[in-house]
Amino acid sequence: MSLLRISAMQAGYGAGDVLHGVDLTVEEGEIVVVLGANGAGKTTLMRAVSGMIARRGTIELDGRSIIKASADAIVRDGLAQVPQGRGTVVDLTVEENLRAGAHVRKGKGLAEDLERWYTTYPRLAERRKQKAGLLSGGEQQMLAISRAMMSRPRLLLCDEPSLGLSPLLTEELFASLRQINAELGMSILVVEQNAMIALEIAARGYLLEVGVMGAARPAAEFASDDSIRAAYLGA
Amino acid sequence: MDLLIARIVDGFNNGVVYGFLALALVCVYRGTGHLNLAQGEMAMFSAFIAYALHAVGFPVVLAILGAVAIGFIAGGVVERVLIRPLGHGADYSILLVTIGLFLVLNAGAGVIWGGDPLTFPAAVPSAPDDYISFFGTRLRYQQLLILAVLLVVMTALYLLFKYTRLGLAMRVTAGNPDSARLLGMRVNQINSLGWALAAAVGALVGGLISPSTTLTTGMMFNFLIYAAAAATLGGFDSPGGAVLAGIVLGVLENLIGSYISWVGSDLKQAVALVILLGVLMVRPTGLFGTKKVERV
Repeated sequence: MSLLRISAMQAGYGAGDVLHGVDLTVEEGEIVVVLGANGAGKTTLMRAVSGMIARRGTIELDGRSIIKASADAIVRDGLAQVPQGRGTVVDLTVEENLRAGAHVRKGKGLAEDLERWYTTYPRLAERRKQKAGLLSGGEQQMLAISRAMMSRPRLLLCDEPSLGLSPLLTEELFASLRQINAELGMSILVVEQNAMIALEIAARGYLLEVGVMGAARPAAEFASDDSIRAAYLGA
Repeated sequence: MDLLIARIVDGFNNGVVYGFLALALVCVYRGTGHLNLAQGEMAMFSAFIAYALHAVGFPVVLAILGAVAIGFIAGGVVERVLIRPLGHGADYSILLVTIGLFLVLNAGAGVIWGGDPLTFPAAVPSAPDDYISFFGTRLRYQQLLILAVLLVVMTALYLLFKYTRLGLAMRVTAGNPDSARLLGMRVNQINSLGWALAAAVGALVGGLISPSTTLTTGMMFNFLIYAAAAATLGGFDSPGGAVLAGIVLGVLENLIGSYISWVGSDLKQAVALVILLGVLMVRPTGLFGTKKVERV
């Protein structure tokens, strides 16, 4: 059974659907990337899965339907999202942001988890008492990922993590996603415009074109597809 | 010298009330990001409820606590019925609804309890000789009680916001509601709770001060202006800052009104606003507020 199974999902913002029948799966421990140009509906897909906007069709997390669940209930079910633009609370400190990430967790281990993410991203440790708004774009993205991971999710959604980052920082950030996947077996669904770098860490990829999802293909096959290269990889 | 101290103490006592009501404003702001202009009228209405409870036989302390409990519930209901339907990010609509609520509560209290001032007994002895002498001036038990309760509430709120999971969730919800939902926070419930808490704090203010101000539908109007000024001065997200700013405002206002003859009591209110304007020109986030910082 897939960890995440989306079938014939439609979603939009009231005036009409942006997504017309999306099918997608993420297996346990897998990194899946959804590629697409600006306006293809990538962020809509993320917000539909996490329950932030109205949607119809089938979404199952570990076999349980979450199509009717509210956004906060979906987080408790084990799905954490790093929103586009990071969503850090700028006037809270780095550490307060991380603690807020653990909101849905019951039980112990909070201090250990804080240490864990400070080790993964040492720059956050240096700035733990600083307001999150003072961090650079790259640091805020690290904070957003750590904060999502503080809920100990089963599936991590990342919406365009490279947005506004330098190529070097983007490289670093995707390396850390790969590390999270390898060390914790974390399943990750990432939507990304920067196709080349996302395909490097993904097992499988999908192409989303103006609201229509293509079939899943191995990431390597994507990277060598000439038409994809021309349209999305800039080569 | 004695007169100076007496004037400082008078101003201080006013300032304590400004700061107390400002705490209620801070509560709503911290918990939801809203500004509630009906905060003073909610406190006034609660004071009348305490009066009504006392009239049917409850002892004073229980009547005040009962009004606080009713205020807490009513605050949550107001959020649920009047604020939540407006949706997220409807800041101006919310502000207007709170003005409407202001008018309804003010007129409603007038219809139910009439326009004549009522008296509500104090929770502590308040005969003419119930005071402590302090450098020739009188600290009345009633005023000391208000100060003590204020300090307890302020400390409790500070600890709530700073050190508890719930307080953190309230701050995240106020700062970034979308993020709060993505972290699994029940944003609607948290908003209700912010309103409920603020209304409870307001009810406490109303019940405590009505013995000294007499109970009228207009009793909170001036206080709300000063409280809003204090909350702005103190920085809307800082309980300690709001209280301190309220006290500073009360003392300065009284001293300037007493010693600068052309200001007198007529222009006292303007003094508060001039102080407010002056501070905001130098520090737009207030004296203790956190600056909204954002790097892009």
